[in-house]
Amino acid sequence: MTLRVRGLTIDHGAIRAISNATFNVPRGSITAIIGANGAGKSTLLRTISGLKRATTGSILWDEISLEHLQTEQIVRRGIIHVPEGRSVVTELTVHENLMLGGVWRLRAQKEDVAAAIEEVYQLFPRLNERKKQRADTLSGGERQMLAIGRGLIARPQLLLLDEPSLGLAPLVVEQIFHTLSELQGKTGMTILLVEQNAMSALRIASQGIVLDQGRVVIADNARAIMNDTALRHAYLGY
Amino acid sequence: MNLINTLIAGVSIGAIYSLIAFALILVWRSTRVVNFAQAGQAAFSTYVGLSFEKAFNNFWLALLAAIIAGVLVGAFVEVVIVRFIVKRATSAATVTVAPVIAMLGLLGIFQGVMGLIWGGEYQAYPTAFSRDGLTINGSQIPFSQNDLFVLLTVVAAMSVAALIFQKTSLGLAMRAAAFAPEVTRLSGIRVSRIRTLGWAFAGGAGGLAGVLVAPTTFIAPNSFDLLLVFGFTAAVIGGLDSLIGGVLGGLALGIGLSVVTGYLGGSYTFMTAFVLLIVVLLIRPQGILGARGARRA
Amino acid sequence: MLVVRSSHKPSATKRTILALIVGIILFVGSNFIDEYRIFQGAQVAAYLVGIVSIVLLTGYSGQITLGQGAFMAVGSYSAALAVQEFGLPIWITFFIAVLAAALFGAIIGISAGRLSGPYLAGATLAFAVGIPALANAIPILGGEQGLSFDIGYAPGKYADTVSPYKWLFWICALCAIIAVVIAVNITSSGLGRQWRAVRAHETAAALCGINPARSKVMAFTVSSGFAGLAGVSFSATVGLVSPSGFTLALSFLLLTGAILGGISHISGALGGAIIVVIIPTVFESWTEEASLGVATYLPGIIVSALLLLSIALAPEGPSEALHKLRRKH
Repeated sequence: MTLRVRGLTIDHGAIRAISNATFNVPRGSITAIIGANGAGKSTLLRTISGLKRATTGSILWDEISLEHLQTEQIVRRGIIHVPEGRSVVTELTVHENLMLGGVWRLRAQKEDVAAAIEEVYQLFPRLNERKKQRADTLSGGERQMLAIGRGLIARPQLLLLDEPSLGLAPLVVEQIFHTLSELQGKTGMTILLVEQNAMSALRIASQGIVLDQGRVVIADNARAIMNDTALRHAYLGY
Repeated sequence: MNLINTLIAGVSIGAIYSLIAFALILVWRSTRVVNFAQAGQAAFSTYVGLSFEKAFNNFWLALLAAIIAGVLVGAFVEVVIVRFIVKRATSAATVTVAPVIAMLGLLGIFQGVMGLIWGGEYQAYPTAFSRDGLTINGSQIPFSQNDLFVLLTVVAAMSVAALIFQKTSLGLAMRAAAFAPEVTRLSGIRVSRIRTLGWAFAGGAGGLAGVLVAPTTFIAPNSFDLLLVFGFTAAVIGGLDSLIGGVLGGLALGIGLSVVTGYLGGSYTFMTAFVLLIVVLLIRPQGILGARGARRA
Repeated sequence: MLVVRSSHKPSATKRTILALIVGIILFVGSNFIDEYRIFQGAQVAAYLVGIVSIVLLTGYSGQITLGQGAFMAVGSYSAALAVQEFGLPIWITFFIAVLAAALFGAIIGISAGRLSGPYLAGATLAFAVGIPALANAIPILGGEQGLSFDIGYAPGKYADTVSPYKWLFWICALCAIIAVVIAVNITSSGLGRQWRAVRAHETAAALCGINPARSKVMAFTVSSGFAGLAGVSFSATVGLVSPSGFTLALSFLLLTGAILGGISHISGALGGAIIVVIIPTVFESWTEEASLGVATYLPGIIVSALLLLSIALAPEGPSEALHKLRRKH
């Protein structure tokens, strides 16, 4: 299953966020979308998960077009979006947040939801220690783990991660990215990772897509992008 | 009148304020709209109950009919009107004003329709229990069998609600949708359906409150306006986001107003509630039990 | 709506001349219209001022009010008390009404200025529900019967030639014209721009050196002053100041007029006032044959439905929607 984006254009009122973007996200890989603040990265993810509507263009997953489906229907096709800003429900406990990720399939697959929650606790033991605490008592890194964990409960085939490193200490970022990389290797899921922290993202990704002011300027092998000094200077600023 | 008696006298009306506060908070949590039309919805449901009462002469059947009518009307209002209004009002200047005005328009329609169907005059609503004060140790207290019935019914309704909220996945989804609708949608939950359910539950609570209060206040198209204001005050005391806060706020308001009425006379009741509302809004805008200062919305 | 439209409105002098012309037309015109229509004209003038007070507060300053009738009551009761207790002449009581209501609005505004959205709506609603009850409880205000408020006859030799209705109309129309001129001047002044800036984006306005809290309290005070004038005009048409005159329904009716006329422009207020005065009378004549219930409740349903429809179809008011349409084409 490949995610194919074809001629996608997205507008925010009068502002064009994404302009005629075309790219593929190959199955079973980590693809990093990188670019400066305001390049349209988050808007792209929000459109894939159905929170926002595209102006024109198509998004195909498993040869089915997503652009007219509701968010809930997209989730049910195994596409899980973990939005920016450690998006957990702060008023719920850690365990309830994880439960939330499985509510939609609780009736049919109760055992599997319980198993998935167990797996997340093994993946992030800190969450297990705090499972009865309200999510607003967690540290930033723990919240990000919980947000990703909530996404994993659905057993995603395509995981959309928006800036998981935002505002976290380098060591915590390292840990989360390492876990993601391992997880991908184990489950074979596809991860589309949006990051401003280009170095960390490209290191675990196999493919990189560089966005600049809503346009796809490069779509290439991650290593090639990392090694292209001119490109790095022009778009990534280091 | 001694203090204990005045306190007791406020409990059952306080329980009814709790129920209205509960309905307002449920809707506020699901849609971020204060449902001022709740007064009309509750009165409408109560009239449906009264019609059943007259037709079948059965209090319990009428009670059930009023609750079901409340649920249906609540869901109808959300699906047909609120959804549309919330979608349309997106600019900064209209997002808070438009829903409020729409709810007022709806209240006006409800009251007019009720007047057309059932007439404008006050009608009595029967009770299943005696409204004479109970006698304890030879002295009568201002608490009747009916008051006891009201109190127990509200406690039962609240217990069921608490069970649903804390123990079921539906309750989990409702709580999540109240605080983080986007994350909830991204978890595969149909938030729009959860919202409809919130309005339906609130409508049912309103219908129940109507039947419980109508024997005391009588029923007319606008007879619940004051109840709405008291319910809103109770909800604000509790913090508008907290269901438990609203319930406690309702009891506190009922008892507090009963004390004021007992010592100063009935004409000060409303003044007290109004001053209380303003004071709470100014001094502790997050409510007595609310957690955060989320008063801008 | 971050952009505050720059407008090419006529200057204050031109507006005053325009107002004078309108006044003369009304003055002369009132001699050719039957008494009932003249009475309705007085009603329209009273409602017009009330609607202007809502447009100033909600449309320009962005603060919702469901309790404008309460401020009208404050104005009316102070005017009636001034006559009854101190025997002041009627024309002075109009100023007293404005001042009393404005003072009251300032007090309420200081507390309400810190609230927004549903909280403000709820607080003003409570205010509107409570004022009649409160008036009932204070003995000096005359309980359920209320106080009489009679503007009497035209002075001197005109008393015989000018009918009471015409006299009433002239007074109410004069109040309305003065109110509209002042309101338009306010909205095109720096104060009006401040209000709109705070309404559009409070933080941005604060960064431009505007004190949002003070701006909101100011809006409450000014708006209440207008409401006080509306209240005294309204009481003049009724001849009475009583709790039943200032029900929640009055507040709603005014809000409906403001929304239907267009909440964001003073110019819509006249249309709104005509609608709220005309609709009930139209239905009364239509439904004379029908049952009493229909005549009583249908106008309310129609007005409420119009309110709901207008909010659903044009959340910023019909006039704003028209502006948008014009900009599109």
